[in-house]
Amino acid sequence: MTASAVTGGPTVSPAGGLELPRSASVGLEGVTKRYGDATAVDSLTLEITAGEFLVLLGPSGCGKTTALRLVAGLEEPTAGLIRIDGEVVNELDAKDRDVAMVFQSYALYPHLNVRRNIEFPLRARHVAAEERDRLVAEVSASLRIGDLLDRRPAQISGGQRQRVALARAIVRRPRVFLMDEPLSNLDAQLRTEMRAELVELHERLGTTILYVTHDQVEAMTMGDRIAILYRGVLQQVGVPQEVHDRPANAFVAGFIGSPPMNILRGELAATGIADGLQVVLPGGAVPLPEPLAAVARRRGLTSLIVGVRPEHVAVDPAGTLSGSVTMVEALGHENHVACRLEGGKLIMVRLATGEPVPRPGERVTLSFPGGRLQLFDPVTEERLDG
Amino acid sequence: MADRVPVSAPVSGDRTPGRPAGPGRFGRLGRSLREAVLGYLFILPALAVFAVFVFYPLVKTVILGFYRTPPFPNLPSRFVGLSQYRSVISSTAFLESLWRTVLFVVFTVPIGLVLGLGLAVLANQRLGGIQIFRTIFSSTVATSVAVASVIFYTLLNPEVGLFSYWLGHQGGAGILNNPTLALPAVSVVTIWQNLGFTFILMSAALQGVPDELLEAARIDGSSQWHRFWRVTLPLLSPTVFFAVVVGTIGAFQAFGQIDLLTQGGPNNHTDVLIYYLYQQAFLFNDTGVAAVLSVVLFVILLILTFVQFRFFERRVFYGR
Amino acid sequence: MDGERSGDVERRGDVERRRRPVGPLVRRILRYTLLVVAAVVVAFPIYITVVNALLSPQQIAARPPTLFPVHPQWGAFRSAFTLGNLGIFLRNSLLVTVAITVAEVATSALAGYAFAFIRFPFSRTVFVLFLATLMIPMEVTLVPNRETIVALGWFNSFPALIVPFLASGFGTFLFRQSFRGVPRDLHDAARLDGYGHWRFLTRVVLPLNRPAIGAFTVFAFLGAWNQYLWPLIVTETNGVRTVQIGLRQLQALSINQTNVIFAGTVLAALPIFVILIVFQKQLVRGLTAGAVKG
Repeated sequence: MTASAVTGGPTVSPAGGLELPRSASVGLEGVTKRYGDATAVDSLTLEITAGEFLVLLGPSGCGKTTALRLVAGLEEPTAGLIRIDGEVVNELDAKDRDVAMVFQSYALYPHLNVRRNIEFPLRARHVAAEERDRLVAEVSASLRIGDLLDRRPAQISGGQRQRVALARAIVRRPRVFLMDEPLSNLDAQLRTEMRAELVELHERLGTTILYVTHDQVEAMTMGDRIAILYRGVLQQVGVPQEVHDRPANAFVAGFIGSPPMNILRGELAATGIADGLQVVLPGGAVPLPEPLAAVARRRGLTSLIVGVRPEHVAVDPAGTLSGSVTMVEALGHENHVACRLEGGKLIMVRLATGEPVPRPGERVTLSFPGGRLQLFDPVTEERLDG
Repeated sequence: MADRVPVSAPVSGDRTPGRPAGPGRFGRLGRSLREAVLGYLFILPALAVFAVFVFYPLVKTVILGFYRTPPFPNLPSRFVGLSQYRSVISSTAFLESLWRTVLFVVFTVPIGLVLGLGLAVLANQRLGGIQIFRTIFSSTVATSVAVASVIFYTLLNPEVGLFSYWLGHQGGAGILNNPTLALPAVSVVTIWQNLGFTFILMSAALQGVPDELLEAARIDGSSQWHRFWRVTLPLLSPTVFFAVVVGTIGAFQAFGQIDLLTQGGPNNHTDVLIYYLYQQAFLFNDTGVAAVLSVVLFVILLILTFVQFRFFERRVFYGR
Repeated sequence: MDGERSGDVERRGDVERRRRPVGPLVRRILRYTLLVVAAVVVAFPIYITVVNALLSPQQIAARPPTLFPVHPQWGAFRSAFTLGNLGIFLRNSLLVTVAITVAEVATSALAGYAFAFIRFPFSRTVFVLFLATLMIPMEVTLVPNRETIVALGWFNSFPALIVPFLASGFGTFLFRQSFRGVPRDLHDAARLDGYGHWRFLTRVVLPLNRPAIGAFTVFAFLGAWNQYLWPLIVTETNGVRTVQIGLRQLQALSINQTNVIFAGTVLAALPIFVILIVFQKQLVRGLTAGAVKG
């Protein structure tokens, strides 16, 4: 990271005065935040290594923003320890934690022009005017907002405001960036662009980023690791692929993926062939491939939760699961087909282009080729592994 | 994104002189204590003024009402309990002054409101030069009670006053010395002086009436007159209510015009509550009676303000 | 979006055109007539005051009356200063009013900020106390307040005219409401950037709330300038008396000096007239604050 920060792009100006990038680890140890009876964050333990891009993912109201604000020092934990760079910062004021935050609303000061907005944290720290000008010029050039410095926030576009907010955070050179859904106010195209830019920025700066979002695409594409929060409780931490492929529980399974994994409850029954097992679902029974059947047998389960990704479902005349097509979403590069099973349960099928697409209203049968299923405990909803 | 990422000197706590970033400078308790201290520091100036000049004197006023002021100075005042409250409140002088105050309210508030609303409607048209009329209609805001009173006092002068001449009261005692005309005259001055304020208030409210509603009514075929009564006025009712309460409270406090125009005369015919209170307190130095009158005035204003608060609490205070 | 908007304009244009029915000229003349009559009635006392200030006492007393200043004479204004001491009174009023206004805005902004942004114990209770002061006007507490002033040795002095009005419950309430419109994110961002309450107040909250501050400043100025009863009972010499009380003395001039009386009222009202013209927007906002929108 250090190297990339120094080399930069092809049109680099002299690298004089550059110093080592700053980053620090962040640790949460059993951090709990209660508001009256409501628990926003429930004994959260999480270790973020220095320089890591960690995404806190979860549906709205899951406590992820609260967790971020706890790290920032904007809220005080009811219990638990927060460390930055190994040092407990619970007692430290927000301004002394050396972290910068990018807000969903950008929190730009409407009465100050872009320059003054970016300078704001520098002025608070009594940075000399010359140094200030130099830093603002540097950061605004790198974020391509150098020509906007005299405008007010109201006079620039949403994407530009986003950059100004980033610039204000960067110009301080903090140890940790805290980002609270920074892209959610941008339109879809700009958001995709900014995702890439943020990743690039992280690579160059090497600063730890704690990034909050409810958008699993952002999480998957940007994070070194993803931490999934639900109802204030940490569900799983892991690299994107791991979270995607081996979700820790049915909630994570149903949250990650686009469209997310299908989650179906079913009863276990014998196939009659050897000691094979099948799962009886609302629209029919599907065989359980052997390594999974062995797991079910070992636990002595009679029912379970089956998860299957839409790309692992096929429209198959020989399929054993029947339903009717309720909707087809043609996305160009692929098609999403929603089928309603007999019990009323919807199941999503993802079809690559070229595969025949059924029409809405059509009755179809489905199969799970290759048996790429995930099993979850019917009670705890925890992942069942070999 | 970045042609070159600024990776300059860290600009943070550890570089800043005079701000130790170490832990425990202020603990969690210390921080909330510091916050609390700061909060009280911020409200302290206002709180101190209120304590000395609002809350303490209010309590003191109530207490003073329990003591009868001696007929001669330097004698001790005597504790009489509630008897002074009873005697003052049941006295003819008090009841008459209260009645005159009510009359004054009745004379000034409704007429002032109708006139202000009328002017506002009149000025709420898209006509060339309307801004000039708006400025003229709000111009009396610039005249204080004293300015308005002195102007009218001179214009009503029985010898040289222009209004006395036009109204056929030249020579003689003059309108302000006429027992039947004095209070109406004071009311006219008050209405005129308040007109600018009422106009501004009503204009602002009128401009808050959404065009869409009026246009919808117009498309539905309702006449201008009908639109005013059925759409505009109902939408204005909160402001009208506000104006009535504020006007009434103001009328109960109206002192300057009485002092400058009639000094309570002729023969007490304009001796409203506040002026009666002023005379007792500062001309006759009867602090006991004045205190009782103050308490009565306070209770009346309290009820009026409470009515206003109850109404606006719903609409405005927590409207966010 | 753009198409929609232009369509909207067109629709409005249609309404505008329909608004001009048959006989529009008659209607317009009627409206203007009404406006002019109303304007003449409302403005006449002010007009005649200015005219009379420019006439001689003989011209004022002449019948039929002179309604135009044929040969304006400015001597009455000079006499208002010499005979009526208007210079001292105006100076006193200006001093007292500016002091009260500045202090009221400052203490209200501080308190309003505390109630909006600082967490301190009993803040709700104290806020209710502040609101309660709105129900306790000076008129109700005259007697003990005058005693306090005397006890402090401030009778017939500027502190007597200023100190009791250094705070405003209304201003505090107005500012608290207005300040609460500042997004919480801005407060958080400023905290992270290292700005404490004081600098957040001065660098962010105050600049962002200029409209409310402007409105209350004009409101406070008007209120202080127009005070009558309190200055009357705590002053006794011209050295500290305000112009409103000065008018009381001016009014007592003989009928041979009515032009001086009129000139004096013009001078007393002039500062506020200037404010009315220059700060019309703030004035309107100040006067209607709490009524139309809160």
